[in-house]
Amino acid sequence: MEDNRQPPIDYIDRITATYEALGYDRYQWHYAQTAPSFAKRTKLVSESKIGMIATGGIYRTGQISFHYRDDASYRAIPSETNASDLRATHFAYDLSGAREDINVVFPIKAMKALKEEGHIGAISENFFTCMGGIYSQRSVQEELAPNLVERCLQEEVDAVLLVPV
Amino acid sequence: MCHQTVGLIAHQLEEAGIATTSISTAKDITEAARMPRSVFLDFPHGYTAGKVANTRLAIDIIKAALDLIDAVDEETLKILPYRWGNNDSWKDSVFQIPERESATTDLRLERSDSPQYQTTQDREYAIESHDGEDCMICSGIDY
Repeated sequence: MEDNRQPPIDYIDRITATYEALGYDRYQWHYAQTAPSFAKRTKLVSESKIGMIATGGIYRTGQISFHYRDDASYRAIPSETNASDLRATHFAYDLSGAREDINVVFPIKAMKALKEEGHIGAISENFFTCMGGIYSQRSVQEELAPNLVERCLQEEVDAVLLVPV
Repeated sequence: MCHQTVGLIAHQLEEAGIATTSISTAKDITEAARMPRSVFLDFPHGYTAGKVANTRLAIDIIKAALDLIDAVDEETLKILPYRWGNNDSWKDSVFQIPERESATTDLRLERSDSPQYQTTQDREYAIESHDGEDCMICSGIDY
């Protein structure tokens, strides 16, 4: 019986209404004006090097953490890092799950397992993390995204798994 | 918001010749961002790759996302069958309009531009590893 199932949450409606009720500035939602282009694929995933970018504010111990005011920086996390050395910091989501098991927002264990199982050809030397809760779409467009593209090209990945929070 | 940021990153990666796929827990935002390929997991924010201590579930979710890379070259959002619990009551309290008396208080955490650490020890480690010229770790940060 699936009759107690609710439809997916309309986040745009709910967040807009909440902000309005609290008297915050209206959030400018991003509606992509153009269809995405699609990279030409020449290899199967099982033959590809796969990277990962996660937005949940993940850093490795020893790294400078993220801040909460439009932080457009990113961190490189070596894919060999132990999950126990990873931390999460963010203002926009409940961190309790992530702090108990970082894999819920940064599935490093599953990526390694998929490589072991042969589902993925290889994983990149570094994965990347950022904040994501950035109110300036311009700083994402002109700073964060181009930087990540450059780093992914350096890693010579064929494809990237994106893990937003 | 994060799902939008990821949409912008995905568009630029695909343009640069790198294929993308993603996991989404916010279907409407992912659609607005026109994500090239994604799987929708109807879980709360903060659990994009599944549940605590459940690697098998994370593997299945990621596999479904990666399969789209081999399968499609058109905008695709595939709905995954997994449920957070036996009912969807967790959705009732998400971003609900707060009671009137609290509406005058800004409930958001103060947005500071100093780094926010999970533990004070992390702050000490970071200071320690940056007390010198050879930081080998924060290769991703521009100062």
